[in-house]
Amino acid sequence: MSSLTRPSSAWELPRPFGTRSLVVLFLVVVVGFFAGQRVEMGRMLSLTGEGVLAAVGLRDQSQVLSGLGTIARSLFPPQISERTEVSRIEGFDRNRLPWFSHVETEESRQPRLNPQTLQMEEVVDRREVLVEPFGYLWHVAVKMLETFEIAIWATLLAIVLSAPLAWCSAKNYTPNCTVYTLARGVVGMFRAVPELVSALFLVLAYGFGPIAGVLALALHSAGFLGKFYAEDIETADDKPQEALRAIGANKLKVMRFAVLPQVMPQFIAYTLYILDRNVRMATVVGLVGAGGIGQELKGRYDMYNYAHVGTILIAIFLTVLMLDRVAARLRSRYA
Amino acid sequence: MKKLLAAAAAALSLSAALSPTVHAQSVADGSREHPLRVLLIPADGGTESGTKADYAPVFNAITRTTGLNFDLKVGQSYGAVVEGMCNQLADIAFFGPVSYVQAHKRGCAQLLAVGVEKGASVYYAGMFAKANAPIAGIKDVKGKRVAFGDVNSASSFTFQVAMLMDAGMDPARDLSAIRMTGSHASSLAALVQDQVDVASLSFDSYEKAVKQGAVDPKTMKVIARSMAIPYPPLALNSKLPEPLKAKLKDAFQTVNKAPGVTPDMIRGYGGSKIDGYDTKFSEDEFNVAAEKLGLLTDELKGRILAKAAER
Repeated sequence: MSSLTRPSSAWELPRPFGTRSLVVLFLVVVVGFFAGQRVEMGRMLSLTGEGVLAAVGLRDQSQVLSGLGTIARSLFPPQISERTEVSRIEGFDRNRLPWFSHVETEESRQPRLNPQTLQMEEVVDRREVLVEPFGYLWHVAVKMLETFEIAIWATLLAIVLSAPLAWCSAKNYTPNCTVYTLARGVVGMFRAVPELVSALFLVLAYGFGPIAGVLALALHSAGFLGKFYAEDIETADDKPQEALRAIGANKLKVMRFAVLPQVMPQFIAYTLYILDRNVRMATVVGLVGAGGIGQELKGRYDMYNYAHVGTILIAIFLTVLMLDRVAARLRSRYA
Repeated sequence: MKKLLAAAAAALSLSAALSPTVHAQSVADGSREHPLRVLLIPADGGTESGTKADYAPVFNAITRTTGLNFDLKVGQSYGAVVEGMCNQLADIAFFGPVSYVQAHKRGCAQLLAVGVEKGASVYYAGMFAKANAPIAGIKDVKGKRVAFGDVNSASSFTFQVAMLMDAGMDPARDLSAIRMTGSHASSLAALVQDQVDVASLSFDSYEKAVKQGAVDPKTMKVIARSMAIPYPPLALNSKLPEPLKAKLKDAFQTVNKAPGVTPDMIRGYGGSKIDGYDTKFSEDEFNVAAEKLGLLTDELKGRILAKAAER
């Protein structure tokens, strides 16, 4: 009995941290400290701290809180209706107004900065406006649909583009070494160029509008999908593939019957993630004129129409939320 | 950055190779199949649909009087509109005065029409500060934090920088910080939030901000006003055939009297109401813009951008 027990001094305890890990940890902290200083992390923390203190009433004022507060106040209430000056509508027919709309007379105050006196003046005049109660909401919905369409088409194109790229950049399926290196290079390059940057150039080649947006998003996400697809193909279990090869199946058949069934759940998950990402990015490429709701967003911001910006932000949020629910459904069913 | 640009260019050429037939350039002659391509820009900021709504009635009236068809597109930056014109992506374009001079110098653009408002075709750029700030004039801007808009903008960058230089300052050296905010609105917002001491924007944009309640005029003051800047023009692509150019000029001269057009439909810079268009405006009038643009060398702009990237 006693011969089976060992003295405690002979126990081998695994040591979680050796000298090496301590040195590495120290280096990471030092590098992190310097990098953090360069991007002003300290200032961020102190400003945020001030904001939190001000929020709970322990400080009078905070730059962050007042900035965020002004933004939040100006975004609400969101803009729902659309008001258009009647005299600016071509071929306006008083007897055939659009559905649910009515004509209103309003007093418009036009402030003017007199270039001679440098004082503000106000020009007041009365004008007739056509009020469409849900006009702006409808406009945003239409723009949001366009944004969604850009994302859908970008994702479809990305799948089509990435399939051959994935085949060529998977080590076990690529025809030869040159093609492999080339395909890996292309995939890497697509991923390296952000959508906004390529959209900046694509609007000059294809003109302003959704084409540039679709292509910019498609190229970038083809880079992502190509890499992920390829890696899954490489790491798929080899046994079913071997079995098929043994009975003389060609590469395409092995891929179809031995690889795809294994990797399909991951493929679907990646593709849904890319779709989600493309919807979010499609709201941004409009900033450089590549279609979608981003252009409306930037324009309204530059016109100081913050209530309109509020409506757009809510629309984007709802769309992303809805997409998330749909994706979760699809994933639980197929993946 | 260079690598990134090279990669972007490579991506571009690859995508172009993938679809060689998509954008085969067709000659626009104003027919229904090949409408003249009009590239607009929301000067001072504006939306795609809003900018189209500003100009559509004018171009529709010209379609009715001349039978020429137009395809209106909205660009997003001054630089992109210059490139669009020079790359034959547009036959007619709306420019800022500075970007017009840039395109004109490259031989891509010539004047079509300039808006006339109350008999004059000018507007103003300004520098603004908080009403209680100890800044009385342009001299006091020295050592302050200043916000500018877009680097190609006449009234939120070029003329303010020129004013500083006329006052004997080197903007890249004598300002304590420079913020390139990208637009008139962001420039003013930076001032409202006390992120800068002085904001550069046009009078028109400031008036819009007051109208929308984004700023209380009692809390702000103008510390400097630029000279009168020629109105942003509509320009023709130099490559268009001469008879077509003449036809378009004639049509714009009288568009305010065209049938179906009310005075409210004639809009110009930033969507403001104008009386009509002047097509006999001489290129020389833009020399002031060209002169100010000449002051701003690429070297100076580079130093300003570098300063803006500092913290």
